[in-house]
Amino acid sequence: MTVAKDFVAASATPLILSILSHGDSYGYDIIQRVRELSGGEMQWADGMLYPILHRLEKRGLIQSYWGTAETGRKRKYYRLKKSGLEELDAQRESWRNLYAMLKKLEGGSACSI
Amino acid sequence: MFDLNNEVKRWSRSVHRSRCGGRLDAAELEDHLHCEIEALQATGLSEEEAFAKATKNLGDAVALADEHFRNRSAFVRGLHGLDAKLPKFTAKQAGALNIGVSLLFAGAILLSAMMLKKDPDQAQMVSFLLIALWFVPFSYLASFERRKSAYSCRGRKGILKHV
Repeated sequence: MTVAKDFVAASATPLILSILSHGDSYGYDIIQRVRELSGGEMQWADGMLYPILHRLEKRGLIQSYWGTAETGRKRKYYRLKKSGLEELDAQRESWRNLYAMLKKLEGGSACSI
Repeated sequence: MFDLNNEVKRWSRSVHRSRCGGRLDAAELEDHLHCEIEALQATGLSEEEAFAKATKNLGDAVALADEHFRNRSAFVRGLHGLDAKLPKFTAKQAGALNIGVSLLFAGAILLSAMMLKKDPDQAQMVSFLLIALWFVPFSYLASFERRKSAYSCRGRKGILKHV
């Protein structure tokens, strides 16, 4: 099973915010975490992540800072801001509602005559 | 001999020049590329093979450009819309056209100066106006020459290719 492109795009923001809610991270690590979490089913185009991260930063949901990797390389880390946590809660709620709707429909027809 | 650090820097610069990466942070892209290369080398690939594979993995240029485009302001997106409607040239064609257009404008400036020699103020105003007008096609055509790059974004699938 592979995850559809539209679904990948729609889930990118809550996934990124959720990963950052567990601690600061950087681009490559976020991509690896998504790959692990999905059991390899969700494949992000590597270059796609950074513009999303920059957009989230522009919206004030996350904050970046420069640090140094173990190898001594310059590395950009991201941290979740308070507004990002609020956005994550709102997005989780939306996904939960959607899931509940789908679950109800799974049991039989939701249309009553 | 293959110099990994040099190649990574060259690739990251070319992504910016070819405008696939827009304002993406060069240092951030380079760090990502190094991480990917290290992971691929751990699977047994040589430095050169790992670099080729990592740049390919990183480079869905269409996704990159589309995502980046959404970060731009409405004004910039509007300019891109206009840009899409204008004719496209190769660097060589653009260079030749630019020389032709520049000569045409130079001729028009000379001609206007000759025709308006009795009214130097008006002649000067017309010259300034023509210079300002000439700047528009000049900038547009010059942009095609700047798009030449060691690496380029190609095709609808948009993989950043090492050419």
